[in-house]
Amino acid sequence: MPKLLEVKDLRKYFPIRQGILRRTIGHVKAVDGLSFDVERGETLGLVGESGCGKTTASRCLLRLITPTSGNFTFGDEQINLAKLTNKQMRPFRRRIQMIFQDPQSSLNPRMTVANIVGEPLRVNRTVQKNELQDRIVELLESVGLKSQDMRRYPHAFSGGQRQRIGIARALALNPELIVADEPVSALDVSVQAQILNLLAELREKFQLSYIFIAHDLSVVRHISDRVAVMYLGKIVEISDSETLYQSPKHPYTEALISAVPLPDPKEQRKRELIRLEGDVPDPSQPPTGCYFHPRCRYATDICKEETPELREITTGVKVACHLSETLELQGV
Amino acid sequence: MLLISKAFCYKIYTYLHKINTIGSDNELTQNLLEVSNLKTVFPTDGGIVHAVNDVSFSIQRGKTVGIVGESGCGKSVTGLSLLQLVPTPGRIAAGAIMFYREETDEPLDIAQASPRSELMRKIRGNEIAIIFQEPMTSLNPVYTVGDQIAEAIVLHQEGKRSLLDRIVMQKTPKWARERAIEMLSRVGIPAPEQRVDEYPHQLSGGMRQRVMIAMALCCAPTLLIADEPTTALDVTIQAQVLTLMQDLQTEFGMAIMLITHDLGIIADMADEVVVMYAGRVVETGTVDDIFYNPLHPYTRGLLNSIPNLKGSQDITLPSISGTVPHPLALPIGCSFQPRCAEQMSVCEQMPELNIIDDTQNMQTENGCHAVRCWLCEEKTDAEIA
Repeated sequence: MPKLLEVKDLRKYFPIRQGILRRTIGHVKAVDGLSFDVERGETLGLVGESGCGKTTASRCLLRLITPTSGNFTFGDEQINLAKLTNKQMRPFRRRIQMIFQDPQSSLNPRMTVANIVGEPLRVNRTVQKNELQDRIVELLESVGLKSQDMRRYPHAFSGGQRQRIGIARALALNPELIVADEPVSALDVSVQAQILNLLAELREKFQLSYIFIAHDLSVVRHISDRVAVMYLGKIVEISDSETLYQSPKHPYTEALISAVPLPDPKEQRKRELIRLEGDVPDPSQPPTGCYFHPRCRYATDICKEETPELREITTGVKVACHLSETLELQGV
Repeated sequence: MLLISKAFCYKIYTYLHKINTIGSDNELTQNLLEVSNLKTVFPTDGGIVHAVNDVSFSIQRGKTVGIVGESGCGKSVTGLSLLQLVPTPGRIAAGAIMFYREETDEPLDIAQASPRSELMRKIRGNEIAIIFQEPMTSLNPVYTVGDQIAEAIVLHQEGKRSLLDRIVMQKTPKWARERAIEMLSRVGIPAPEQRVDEYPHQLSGGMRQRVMIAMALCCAPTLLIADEPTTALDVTIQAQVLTLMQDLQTEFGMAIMLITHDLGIIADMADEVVVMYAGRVVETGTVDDIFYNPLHPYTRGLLNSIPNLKGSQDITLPSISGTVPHPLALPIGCSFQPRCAEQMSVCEQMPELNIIDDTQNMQTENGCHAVRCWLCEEKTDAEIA
């Protein structure tokens, strides 16, 4: 059986235009050759710092923006969605849905909850008019809201509840894949746990697959089966989450894990901390060779010249590093 | 120029001297700031919001106190109250903020000082400095970072302006600019001579936060209030900024009041922790008390609900049900009781913040583990009996 989603060499370059003629003088390589796949019922976590292309990648997958090159196939049909026209894309849109980061700005303040959740149902004509109400109630109850909430407006809800409305809207058309772009980063810790539990519960109930984008490594670990780490538009490491956190194979993953302060004072005092120098480079002028080499503490000459390919070193573990076999990196 | 840097060196020297004397005189317990029964209120159309309600804690010299809580629990307003910076119509309604200044032995009650007084202006930025969460909005986009850092230096070292400076009325005299460059290099900004003339938009988020820190530290304050200093930053940059703050703390010997919602940062930085919920302190103690012996159900709930980098990942996260109550519709009695798993009938009365004597407490000299919960009152009563 084919995988639910297979992405091959996805690229999205944004042109930089300048001058009166608006000539293209360069490109911001937001997503630069991304390859991964998502199995049915699986959650793939996508982590990386801001500006590494996580959100651009997710928008390409939903075809909210058209990728520059590359292809990705979805579902059993094995159709390359990257090349489809908007019209051809329509039947697929209901099968891939999105949950947005900011529940404040992703809900229309002038629509009631019933309208927000019911809109995808009405647009796609998936239910009869007289069944619409029941379906909305069903959706609201599945995300832990009450049926009388449907007549209220988004401003009457707290952040966590608004995120639940966003989730109900994403579920409305029984999608197969949900792309969740930082769904919990705007929420408080206690509410964050509620939403994470809800997402896990819905995955079981509706056999969903998630692409879960976040910058918080502990959140990603909790919900994901596999995790892909991105740096400057490329995947530097992808493996199942247990292996990734226990024994990272890329120096960037190691540094990321080390940078997360553990909520355990004694453990934290004992840890040997790796502090990355400098900032993420400008994606319009990436460094030569391995993009990470200027900040990498293990960098050798080969790293400055040759760009490492993402290669499988053991089953299920793919790393883009020249030195991954020789390095002994520390995990959590 | 020479004179100025000499004066500054002296200031640093007195600081270092002070730290040494504190250490030798066994006066580790010396408090820099004592907040007692602080109440900050915001009159609104719907009624009075008690943003900070009966909050007491103290900050020792050179130590870090972490204030932790969810949004709307009053942690930021507490920070602003210490500087008399509460935005209108808010005001400090009751309580005392005793600030032990270095020049005088008599403590100063900031709560009594007028927000616009000359005295408060002298304290702000000079003796107590603050770093805000979002470095982009707290920097002025139309001035260079050098000018903004120098502003504080010029303001607080007025007497040190030469006659020429005063006649020319130059915004940034040369000596202040030199100090700004020195501070920029201190906070680890590469090529500070060029960066000093750049505008905030030319810097990255981490750099901007470094500029904020440079600005806060340029007058060597005795207390630094850091209000969510790394929330807008990436983890790797957050790690850089936290390390920088720790290094500068040992260098300048200042106390830090760290306001955050991230318990990981608290574990990393804080010596003592104050947990707030709905405007009140629900638990305070040393960092070890809070993390290894949390007594309040809210503290326990918070600690349990963070996904960890270690341990098994498949279990559902224990979460606290419900949401933070609206500040105008606080529940009767303990504000946490509707969400509390261990709710009892007695919870309809407000419990007091009681000091707990537990074993871990004995190890610390000044640690004071206090909890506002009926569960713990029972326990102590039983122990006494």
